[in-house]
Amino acid sequence: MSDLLKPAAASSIWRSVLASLGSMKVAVVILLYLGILVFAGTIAQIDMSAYDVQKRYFESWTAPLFFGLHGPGGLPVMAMLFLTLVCGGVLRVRWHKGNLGILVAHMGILLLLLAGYVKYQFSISGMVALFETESSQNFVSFHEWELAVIQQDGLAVRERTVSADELDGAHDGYVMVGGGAHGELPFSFLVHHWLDNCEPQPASSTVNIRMPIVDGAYLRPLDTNLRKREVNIAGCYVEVRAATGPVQKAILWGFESRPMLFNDAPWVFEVAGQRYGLMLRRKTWQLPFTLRLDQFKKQDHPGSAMARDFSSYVTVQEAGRDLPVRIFMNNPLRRDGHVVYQTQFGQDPRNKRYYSVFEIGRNPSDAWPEWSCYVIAVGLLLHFGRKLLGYIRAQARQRAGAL
Amino acid sequence: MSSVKISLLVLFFAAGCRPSAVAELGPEVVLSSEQRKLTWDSSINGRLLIQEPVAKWTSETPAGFESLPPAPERFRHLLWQVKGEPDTECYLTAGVAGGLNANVARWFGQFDKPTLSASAIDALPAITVLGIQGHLLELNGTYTTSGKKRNGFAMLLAFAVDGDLVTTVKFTGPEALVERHKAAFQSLVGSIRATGVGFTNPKPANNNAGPTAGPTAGPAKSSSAEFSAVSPLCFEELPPAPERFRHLLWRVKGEPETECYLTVGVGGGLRANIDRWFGQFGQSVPDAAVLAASQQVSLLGKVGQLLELSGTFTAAGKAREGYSMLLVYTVENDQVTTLKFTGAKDVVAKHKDEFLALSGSITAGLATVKTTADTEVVKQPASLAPAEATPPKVAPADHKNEGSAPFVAAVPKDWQPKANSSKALHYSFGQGSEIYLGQLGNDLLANINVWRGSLGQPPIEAADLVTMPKVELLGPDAVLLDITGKLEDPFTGKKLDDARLLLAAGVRDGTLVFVKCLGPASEVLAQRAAFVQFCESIRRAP
Repeated sequence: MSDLLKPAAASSIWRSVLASLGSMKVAVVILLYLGILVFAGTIAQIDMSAYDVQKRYFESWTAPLFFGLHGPGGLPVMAMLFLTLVCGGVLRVRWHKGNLGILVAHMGILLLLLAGYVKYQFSISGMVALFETESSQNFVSFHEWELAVIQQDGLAVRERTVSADELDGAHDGYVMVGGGAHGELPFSFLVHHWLDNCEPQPASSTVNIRMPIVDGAYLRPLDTNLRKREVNIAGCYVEVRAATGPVQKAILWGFESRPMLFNDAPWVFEVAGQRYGLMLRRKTWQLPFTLRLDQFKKQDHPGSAMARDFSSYVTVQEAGRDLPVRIFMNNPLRRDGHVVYQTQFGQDPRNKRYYSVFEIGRNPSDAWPEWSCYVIAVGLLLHFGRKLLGYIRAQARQRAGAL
Repeated sequence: MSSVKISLLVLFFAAGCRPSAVAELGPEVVLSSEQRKLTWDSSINGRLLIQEPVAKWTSETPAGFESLPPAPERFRHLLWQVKGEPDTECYLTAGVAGGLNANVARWFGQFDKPTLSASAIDALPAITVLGIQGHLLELNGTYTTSGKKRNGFAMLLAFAVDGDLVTTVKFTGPEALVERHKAAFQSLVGSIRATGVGFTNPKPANNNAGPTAGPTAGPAKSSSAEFSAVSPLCFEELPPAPERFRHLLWRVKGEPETECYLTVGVGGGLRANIDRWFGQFGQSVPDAAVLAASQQVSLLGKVGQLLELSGTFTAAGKAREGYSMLLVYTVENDQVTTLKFTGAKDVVAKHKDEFLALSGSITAGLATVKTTADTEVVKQPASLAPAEATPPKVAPADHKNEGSAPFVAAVPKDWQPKANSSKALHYSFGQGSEIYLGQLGNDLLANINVWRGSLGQPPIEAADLVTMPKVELLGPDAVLLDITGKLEDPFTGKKLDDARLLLAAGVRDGTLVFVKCLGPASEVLAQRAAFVQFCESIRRAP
């Protein structure tokens, strides 16, 4: 047995790892690097939307810094910070009442980091736009796309989706999408020529088309709007392949303008006598309740059409009960793990009807940052309170000694 | 540094994984049809909102040039040559793909010269092509095209880029000729306009819609995308200025003092606006009955009233004597929509007919029509929903004309089918106007001149066909004839003092297909937008 595997040696390695990870120097380096990352991300927002910056700098393994150099992205850095805090602030620190404040404060910071990770991993955010008297049980993503395979089954609609995140390879290659983990669907489909922003064109309109032409049309690539990511309209080509029958090809495009124009027309194909629809759409989620807009109210600044204040009177319909709620700026509706914010409004140019736009978020760690602030505050109060007490006692002792 | 720290740093800088080439569909979710409303079996055009290209271009052929029939199959959407010089060729090619660099390399290659760098391209002299800032390129030497070498040739090429599409006006010929006609070429380039229902000039920037049409993530909101119009040839289109309430903007060519613009949905109510308009001419407002008795003119699919004012026009603190204003207004829910035309009195009077025609041609968006055959031909601004995009006068209440089985169309509600007619799609409206689809031999020019003659209008030349406005009628390039005059129809004996003829005609499969709308001028004018949409909606019956 080598020395390394002896208990004493293993213990030494463990202490060495703890010492390295929990070193104050490592923590300072990480915090300094985080500062650089934040600075680089801030500068990047000159040309990039906040969403893209968040994805590229803080929710990534690597991030572009300066002068073409790449460094670690937010994910590994935050993970390292978490580890360092665990090692340095929890495991290495002596657990006695004198260090209670430090321990509690570190727990609070860890909770804050954990809240960030849970949000990154499990939260969703989207929008719904409603005219008065309209209701919805869905909301859609601002930025994310998905492909949905749909089957109409009487009055039911059966659908399976694959997120665009999993189709990244289709930008400059292809991705084969299987028909479910257990092969539930009798076909698979190939996704290729994924474009983040494009528009369909009839093939007759131009020459030298470099994109595939399907049914006399092709997708014309457009520059991706990096500053307003939500205005981009994705498109892609798909090829459905089944065990028998020919390969069926189509162009999919995700255009819509809610609440006036919905992307509701899937490409329809048939496999083994069954009809299926395939569509590219903004990622869609279900609400656990129905949201109905009863009235939209807007007050303008005097003599102008500029809104001074606007709010929405909605009814939350759930389990046969109607709950009237007023949603306005900084006064969201929080229900069933969802937060519904009043974000904007618009007007239908055809009939001047107003519609209200709500941002809807679902974040399991929504309240964690608030709790972590309390925990950190308690920790700091304990620590500095103890220090203050010690100082006062020392002063008192000094004064007693002097006497 | 300890080995642990080094290994952690290596981990730190590890790159992300390569994207996977395999994915799986997620678990099945079952929803009700109410939760997920779907439109099944939409055509590709309906699904992808594709409209067949209906681009039309007009230009003013300069002195020394002659216009030739376009050859779109050879990418010559407009075509000219120097008069009597068949070695010269000048043509518009709209929207060639492949990107600018590849095209520049090709042009230089035709003269066996190395291409330019991107910065050198940017440094070329500026010129505007179809409303987009572009550049002018001059090359000379041995010109090689279609395998043929020509010494002593020159090329003038105006180009502009819209996304990855390059629009060019190319003029080639013997060096001396090209040099002599350089100024004329530049004037020609400046005169080219994209016109016609359903076409907007190429946009230089991406202007897509987001998931919502709200103030920050708005739909395609360029004014030219919200409204379209058939610009009269004597009017030149100017960039809209919605911040100054000019949602569409024109002026009379060569008359910079004139201004004509569409303003949609101004608040304040009709009375306050009328007070303002009359106030601009220092006049008091007449009785409501007088106003109501003014001429009715179509605007954005609604019947509007025409105001005519003359005198000293005061606007923006500047008084102008001898001015006139023609103004068509409609009002809905206290929102006033106007088309206003101001300028020197004689200029405004001279262009009154064009102004009225322009008013009738304005439509909201690139409207949708449905046929019984399909629900396609949809390309509309994001702000318009399919079912409501059509102006009110053209409801998508489709029906076939009983006696016209070969064609179907979307027919306005207030048009009445003509019983027992042998003509296809034969309808009447108003107090004596009628519209029908007919087919003749394929001599377009001869027939156009017969129709013109029936209203006392002089004949036109073949070259004039190229510059006539175009409309879609079973294809993208039917000419649109809009004339007024005294009707004396030699075939039917019909007579009418104040007649208007709207006619769309194009040769389809060797046959001249036309849609003719004839009647009292005011009635026909009020139906102009509906006429254009009717023509666009016509399909051969399945």
